[in-house]
Amino acid sequence: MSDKFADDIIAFLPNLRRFALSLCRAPDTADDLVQVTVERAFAARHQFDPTTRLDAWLFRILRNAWIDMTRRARTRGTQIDIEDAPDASTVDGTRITETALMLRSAKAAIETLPDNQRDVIMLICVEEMSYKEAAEILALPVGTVMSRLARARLAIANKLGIKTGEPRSSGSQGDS
Amino acid sequence: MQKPEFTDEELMAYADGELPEDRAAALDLALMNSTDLTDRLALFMDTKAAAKEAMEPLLRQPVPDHLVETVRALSAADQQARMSSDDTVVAFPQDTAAPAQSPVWKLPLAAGLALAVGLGAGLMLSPDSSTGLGSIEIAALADTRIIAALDTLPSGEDVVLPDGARIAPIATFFDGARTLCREFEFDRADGTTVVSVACQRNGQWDVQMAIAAAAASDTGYAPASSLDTLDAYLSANDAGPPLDPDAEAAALSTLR
Repeated sequence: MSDKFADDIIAFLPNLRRFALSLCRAPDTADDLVQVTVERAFAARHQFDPTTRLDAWLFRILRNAWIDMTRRARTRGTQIDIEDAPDASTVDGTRITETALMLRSAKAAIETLPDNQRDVIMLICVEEMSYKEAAEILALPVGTVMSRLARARLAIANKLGIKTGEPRSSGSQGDS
Repeated sequence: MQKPEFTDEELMAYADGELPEDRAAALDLALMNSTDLTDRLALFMDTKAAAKEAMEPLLRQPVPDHLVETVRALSAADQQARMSSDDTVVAFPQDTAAPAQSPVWKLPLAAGLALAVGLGAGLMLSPDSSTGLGSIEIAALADTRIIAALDTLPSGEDVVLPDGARIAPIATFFDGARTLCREFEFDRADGTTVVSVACQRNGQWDVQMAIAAAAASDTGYAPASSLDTLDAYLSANDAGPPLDPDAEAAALSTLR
């Protein structure tokens, strides 16, 4: 018997894992988080509005599950082990423009962002949610999402050596 | 000093295709005459592309089989459940802040899950013959042993009562009205788990919400889905972050 809801969720599992990994940074915990998300999604499937994006709905559930997990971890004193990101230490910020290195340093740049900036980067730039969808997932006003997203991108640009000019002013040097 | 004609956020929204049309048209024009603007715009386009590309390889990691199997199993269970019967849901009474601002999907209620809110001591969920869940009584707040546990037991610890029931405070926090509240789990001797929030009102613990579920799994914990209801409750009531152990001890000491 085919179940489109289930098939669609399976199709989004890689995206859910990616978002989970960006939140908790430990592959095992990420998989647990996806598992909980899937369970909650099925428990609530009759509340899903099929005119909206399933992935946005799933991300919202996943993020709530993460908040809940951290809340419990904090009070129960259990540690969520954070796998150190080997990429972060191997990039030295010199002007090597190898694509691979650029990608690794972009990944490192994202990983070193504050959590609330990384969330918006993952949802909007990586998962291609709209500002409104991201705002609903994060339970934030759209304006807050936008200001975090702009800050996050300026920070990434800085780390990658993308010319940032002088934001909001007229003093850019214009060499390209 | 001239004010910037376009803010970073507007340039970013333009790069993301989210700038309202009239502003986008104005920016189209301005871009033709300003390398500064084009540079600033390029930054937002480049960072988006870089982020997307950098995270792309993660999508190609193989998904563990057990996750796919979970989805299949839930789907199968779902179809079976739809043939038999459904939820027991007791709605929010009117005096409790329902999360009116929340989208409906923020409040999922699982099958086999019963919810009751804002009742006083001895709250009772009526049995529903179709669920087999039976009657669940949360004698909680008349029960001096539970009151004692809420008054004194630090979050993260638990106490087993003589009848085999177990109470475990999960967190202590202040809600939006600065009322001291505790989230706790209560495992009845019969294996039923109740996840509950009680807040101090007039010197006693008043149950704000309780989610009861027959312990379906070996773990004895309420199913994860019940925690969505808890999430919705906590956000609707502006629950603050859990107090750290010292703050919790200080808050609880005021009860004595």
